[in-house]
Amino acid sequence: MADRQAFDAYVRERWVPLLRTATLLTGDRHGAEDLVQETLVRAAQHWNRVDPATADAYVRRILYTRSVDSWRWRRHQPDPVDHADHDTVDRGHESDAVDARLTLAAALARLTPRQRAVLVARFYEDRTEVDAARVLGCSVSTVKSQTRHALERLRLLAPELAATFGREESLR
Amino acid sequence: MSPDRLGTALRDLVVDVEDGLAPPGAADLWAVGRRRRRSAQVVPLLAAACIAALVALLVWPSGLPRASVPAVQPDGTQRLTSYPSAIPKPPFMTTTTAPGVTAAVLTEGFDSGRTFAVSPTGSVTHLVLPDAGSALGPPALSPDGRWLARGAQLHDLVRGVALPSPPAGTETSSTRSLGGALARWSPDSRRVYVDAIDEGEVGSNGVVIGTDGSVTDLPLLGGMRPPIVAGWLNGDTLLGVLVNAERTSLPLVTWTPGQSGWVARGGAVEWEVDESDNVRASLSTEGNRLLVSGSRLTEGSRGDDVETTAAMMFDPVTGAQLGMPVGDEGELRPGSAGSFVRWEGWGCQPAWRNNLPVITDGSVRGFVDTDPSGVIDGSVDTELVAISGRYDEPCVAFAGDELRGTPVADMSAVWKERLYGWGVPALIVGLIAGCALLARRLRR
Repeated sequence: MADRQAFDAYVRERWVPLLRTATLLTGDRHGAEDLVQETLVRAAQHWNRVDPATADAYVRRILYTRSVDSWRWRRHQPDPVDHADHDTVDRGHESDAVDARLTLAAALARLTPRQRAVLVARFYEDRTEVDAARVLGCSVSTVKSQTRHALERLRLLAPELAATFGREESLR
Repeated sequence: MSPDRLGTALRDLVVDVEDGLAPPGAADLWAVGRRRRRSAQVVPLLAAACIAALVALLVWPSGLPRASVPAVQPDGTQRLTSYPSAIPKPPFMTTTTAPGVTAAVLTEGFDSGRTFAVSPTGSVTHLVLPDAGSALGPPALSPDGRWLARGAQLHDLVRGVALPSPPAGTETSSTRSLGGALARWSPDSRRVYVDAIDEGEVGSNGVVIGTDGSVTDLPLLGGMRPPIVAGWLNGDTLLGVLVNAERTSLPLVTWTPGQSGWVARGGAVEWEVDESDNVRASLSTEGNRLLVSGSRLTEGSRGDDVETTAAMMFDPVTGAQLGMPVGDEGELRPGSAGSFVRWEGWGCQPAWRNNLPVITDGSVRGFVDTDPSGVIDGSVDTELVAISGRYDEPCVAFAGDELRGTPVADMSAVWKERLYGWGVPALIVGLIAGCALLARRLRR
């Protein structure tokens, strides 16, 4: 019963942050919701073995692992050229900020799931390479190489945002 | 841009994600997780059960236990103390000529002809016996469970050897074929009466064969049909019934080895005998009830020939009717005129239990002796020994034609039979369910 209450509390508190991360990982809202729900079900399956102090790290590791598993989530990946129904952006605004968001979203969508996961862990969640490697379940060198490749790809896909993907980002 | 510009840009992308969103029901997520946790626990168990069933199916047929329950000797005679309450399916591989002390012998119909020995605890072994040659009739098992008579051939089930058939030496032996309708063991298991058929003409006499190899011819009855032997009144005297010339009654006669002829007992059983009837008589183990049965072929419900048997109990001294414990009241009271009982079967030898007849045609069923006041009530459909459906037209001969002592079941054999019954379907269902669960998990 205590497990169940702790799980309920966790879902209430961490739903939105998890959904934001999942949105970046999947590229669309519906896929993100599916991913978070699947992640939470998996967490509930083994919740009795989860340390409450590290529950969020455990859940996020599931989230990243599931997102990288492209075999299962490929069908949720958005069409890279179709931005019309992208839920995270609003095409109604013509400002530069909106253009930049659209461009960034499109570029992210064309990365591999693993590259996206590395960028999200490193820059969105602001994790160190060691921490990112732990949550992604890979080596630090893999995190380094994936980060470098992802940033190079983003610079190619969205050269107008090159400043955003500057060399200093990859060196952090 | 600062080093945080990519992080900021990413946060900007999802800044409005929470708009209009409510978290999903945690209870639903928890329930799904719990269901998966249980299925994850069930799948290995199911797989283990399937493997266990598979191993059991492969391993068990080769190793049935051998009967080893000894006979007891309360008064100098040897009798069994238990009988099998279930006869499980035939074993695949186990065959023997010496199954040990045996409580019952099961024979199949003519198409198969296999014989099985059933121990007092219900273990079944395939009995392989030497060719009996001209031996006819059903096998008869001695009361101590050691000797099996097939016609005039006696087989020691403990040592696995057969006694030589009786030598020719009498005036009738040149035309005699031993082993007609039946054999009757004496209560002390030391000798057996074996029916005989004169070849080429109606009329026969039998012999009494001792387990020591001695052979005694029964006296001929000039001009009359031979007696139908019902059993031993004690260790020395045979009780039989004759068919009178009018075919309306069966006079009771006795013969003791050493006497020159049969002796009329005075009483007679009233019984109409048709030419085609196969009349049998069986004396109860306590010697105070005589079961007379008549069988004839009739057309069955499916158009095939069915042997229908009618039976009634009589007093073996006076020939008075005792009836059967079925009928209008379903009761049998000493001295009351009784009723017939009829059943369809293929003519197996009836047995006795608690001094009441037991039918062994296809299944072993009889009457329930309940009331201490002596009122016997019950139905002929009360099953006493469950026989596996794997046998083809089974006939069961019990030791001394009696279900004596306590019913005992070999539970390992019973469970093995059940496993064979539902093990394979369960294995298939388990494999399909396992594959379905696996496919479902992979799809997710």
